[in-house]
Amino acid sequence: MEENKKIEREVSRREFIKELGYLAGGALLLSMPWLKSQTPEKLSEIKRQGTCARVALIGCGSRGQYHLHNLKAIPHAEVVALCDDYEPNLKAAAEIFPSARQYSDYSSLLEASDVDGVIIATPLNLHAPMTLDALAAGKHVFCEKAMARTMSECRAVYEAYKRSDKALYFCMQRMYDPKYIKGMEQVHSGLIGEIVGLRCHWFRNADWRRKVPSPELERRINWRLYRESSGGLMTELACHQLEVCNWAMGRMPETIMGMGDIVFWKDGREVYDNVNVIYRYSNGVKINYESLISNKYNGMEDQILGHKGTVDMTKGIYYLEEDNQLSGIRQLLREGKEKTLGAIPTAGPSWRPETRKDYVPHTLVAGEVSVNSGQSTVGADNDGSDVILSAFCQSCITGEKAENVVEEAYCSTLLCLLANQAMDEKRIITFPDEYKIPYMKF
Amino acid sequence: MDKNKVIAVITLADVIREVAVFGACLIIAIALNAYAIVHYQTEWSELYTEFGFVLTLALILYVARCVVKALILVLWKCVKLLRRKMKR
Repeated sequence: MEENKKIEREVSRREFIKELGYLAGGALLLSMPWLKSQTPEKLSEIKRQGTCARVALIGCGSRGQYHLHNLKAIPHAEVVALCDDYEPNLKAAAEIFPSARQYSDYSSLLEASDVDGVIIATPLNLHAPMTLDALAAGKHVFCEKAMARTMSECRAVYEAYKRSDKALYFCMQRMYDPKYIKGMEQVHSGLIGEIVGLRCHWFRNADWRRKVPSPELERRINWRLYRESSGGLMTELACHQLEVCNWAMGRMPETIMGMGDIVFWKDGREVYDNVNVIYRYSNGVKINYESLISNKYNGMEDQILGHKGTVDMTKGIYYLEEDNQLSGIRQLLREGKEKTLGAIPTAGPSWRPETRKDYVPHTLVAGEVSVNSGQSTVGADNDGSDVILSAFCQSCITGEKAENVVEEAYCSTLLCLLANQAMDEKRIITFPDEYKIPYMKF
Repeated sequence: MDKNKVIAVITLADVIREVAVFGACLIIAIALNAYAIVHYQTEWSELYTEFGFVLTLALILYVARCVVKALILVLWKCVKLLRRKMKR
């Protein structure tokens, strides 16, 4: 049964790869070069050789266990070790992979010669030190987003990666999500015209808390709520969405402003539960980002607005302005009617209240699309997390680095951290020169 | 057929005139469509995609013209009737 499920998921991953037309030299690979490291040809070669990536998990909490379940469906992955300094999590992970060795100290794990790569799913403040240690120990690394807790740590990780010959991935799963890939292909081909705005939001109605067995564990278990270990809504949620915006724009925002508050969950947490941030690109286009966790009506959406249409990446749907545009003759008659019979006395039709209309949805990907409601605090099914993890395991075998993944993680993490700074200091921030890297275009 | 019961005879000339009037209405409607396309910068394909709407508009113009003509006729008849009564 389990084997069948494994085969089924592998087939679906292969179909995904084929569906996207991962043909060597294809236009898609030129515009999304990170996909080069996992072409069907490379996957077949790995299968033919019968080699497996020997990976270890550091951080066996809910997200770590989510990765373990995904690893079970990856034939070229073998989980050889598990590490967590919190016993209940380590035990839970060991139930998923009973044969894996167990560690409570990640330094000892890094000394193991039979580990090709490590997966880091720990609190944010541990990402940078663990990633740096793992790279130094000669391991390939797959780390959860965001890249690091501070900007200087981000820079250190980026520099270490550039010096290293090891593969480094950050879990920017949208880069491997078929609906995002297809959507971005369409955006860049001009489907929605010129990009004029970006709207992203993530709304939940939950306190983000986890049960704590004893008070001294509060900051360890609820690490997301405290500033020493978390960047709050920006690093935990916005990070993915900002990456999508930069991917669409092909550049980085220049200026950042925002406001953040603890509006509802006044329970001793230190991070904002309500944020509004604006990022401005050099051409005047802006990202409007909003997130709060005391109302979930609007859910999660990544919208790219063009002068000809809108793409909602999260649902894999696009809408065209022309579907709702009146023909010339109808506009002429309506204007004539309003001039003669209209109730608007002086300001004319520009004052007409424009309530949102129902647009005709067009799908980006044929067939059933997996949509993440954004409500899960662990991870959604088929959101690209399994594909990027599979790509990492391939890199552990081939040694091939995935292009742009680290750079994209660096860019989006810095934008999250700068937004937090802008909100804390209540000022407009210009992207600092000292954190610019050659990959960035402004 | 009883000739005394004939109210009006529609001649070929009448039909041709009415067709010509409707044709003029259609041309006005098409011209309006072309003007609207230029004015609102919409697609030229609307010349045929909106043809049903244009045809309806032409029909409305034609009916409106008929109504106006009928009103004028009724008014004219009333005036004539009034004059006749006043002469008596």
